[in-house]
Amino acid sequence: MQTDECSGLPLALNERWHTPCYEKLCKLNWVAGFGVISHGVKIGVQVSDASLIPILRERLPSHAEPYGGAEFDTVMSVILGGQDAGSRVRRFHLVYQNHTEVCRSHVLDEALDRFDAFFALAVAALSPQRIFVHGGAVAWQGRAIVIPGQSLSGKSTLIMELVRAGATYLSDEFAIFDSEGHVHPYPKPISMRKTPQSRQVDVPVASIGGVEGREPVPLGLVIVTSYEEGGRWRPQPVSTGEGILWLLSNTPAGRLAPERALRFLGNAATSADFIKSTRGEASDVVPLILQRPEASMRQDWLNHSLETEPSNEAHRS
Amino acid sequence: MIKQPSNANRPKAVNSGLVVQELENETLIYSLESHKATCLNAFSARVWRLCDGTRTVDDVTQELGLDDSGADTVALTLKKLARADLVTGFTGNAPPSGHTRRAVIHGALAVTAAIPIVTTMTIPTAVQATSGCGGEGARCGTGYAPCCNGLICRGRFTRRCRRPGDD
Repeated sequence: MQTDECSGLPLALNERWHTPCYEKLCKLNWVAGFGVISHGVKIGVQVSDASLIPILRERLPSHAEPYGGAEFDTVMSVILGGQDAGSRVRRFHLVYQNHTEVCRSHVLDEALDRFDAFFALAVAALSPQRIFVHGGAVAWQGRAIVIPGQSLSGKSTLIMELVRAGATYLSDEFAIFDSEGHVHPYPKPISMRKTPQSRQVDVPVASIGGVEGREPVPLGLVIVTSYEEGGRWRPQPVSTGEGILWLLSNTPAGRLAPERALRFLGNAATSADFIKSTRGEASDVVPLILQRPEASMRQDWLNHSLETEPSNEAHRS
Repeated sequence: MIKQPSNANRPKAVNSGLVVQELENETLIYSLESHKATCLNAFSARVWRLCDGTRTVDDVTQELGLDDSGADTVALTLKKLARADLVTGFTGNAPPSGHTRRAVIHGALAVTAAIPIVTTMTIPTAVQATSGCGGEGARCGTGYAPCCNGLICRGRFTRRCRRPGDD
């Protein structure tokens, strides 16, 4: 990926986000930086050690394009820690978003993971063109199925099973809505955890026989669900308005741009159904979700329920 | 026993600092101050719009074309709207005539589609919207999601969610 080096260090935040605390952070010794733009969000990255630049560039998402401007919507600052030769002092690796410390760790991988997470969050929260809903999304018969939910609610597991069953993968992290209510893909591997505490492991979609979607599709179904051991799949219809509230409560820009979020989600909801239910094993639920013919993605299917046997579900994300 | 609301109650809809999105049969309202988002069904939305600070509960009931028993439903709706910070000036408890809420809903079902449905959610910050809560052993503190219920965030250098009493 090509990026533009920034000569003017420290990087300048735009007026809306500039704070006195950020000015203090700027007084540290920043030796290199670059800028990218993603979904309309200008993000600057500055580091205390030039060796971090190639590492961070490699981790940028594919939708990040080079940006050579002088002012940014958000600035990610990374300070390399570690132990100098001959010294007994171990310094922390630090990551800041604007003036906020988002990671302080002796483990570089942990700091880099936090960099990734907050980079994605900044794009999701600040994008002027799209509304990002935290959740998974697949395409099925030309319509999007969106599963909003917070981390550790089991959405990645469900998305993986849907893809294994033939749905087209759109995202396991953000469903991206445009002004017409279409859901865009957010290309990245599926991130799985073995335990809630463990690091996420990326699973390429192709490795499970899945196909990645390239085009936006209209919203067809929103499923509000979370994994419960021994949970029963009993989908109940949710009104369009309440369904939009569920989407909004998983929208990072919900507080920053509520008017746009309600308008985009309202446009998307005109042709969609909303259901909610707890669920047990993803593999048991997926056939019931996908067996809905596209034309009757409404009431008849809602009567289905499935009792699943209690068992442990190892992979949740 | 529930208090009888005064007819002097003249509820007024809160109109400032709101983002309103009309749907086919519902109205979505977002409060820029409290960051609460509320979904009103058609009946609740009509009641909300009629609250101009001059009408009493009885006036609203008449405007809606309901009979006297409908006042219970209107009062219940106003109570829900007041709880969602969408009306001010309604101090009475509902239902007013000593009926239970179930009885009011049942009565409303019997005569008309006057069922008040008011659903409110507090919209989280960007970090909260994605992070959920931290399970046992998860990192916590500045920049991290708060610990789940029953866990506390502690640690001398690396703060993690732990059970109370665990070392």
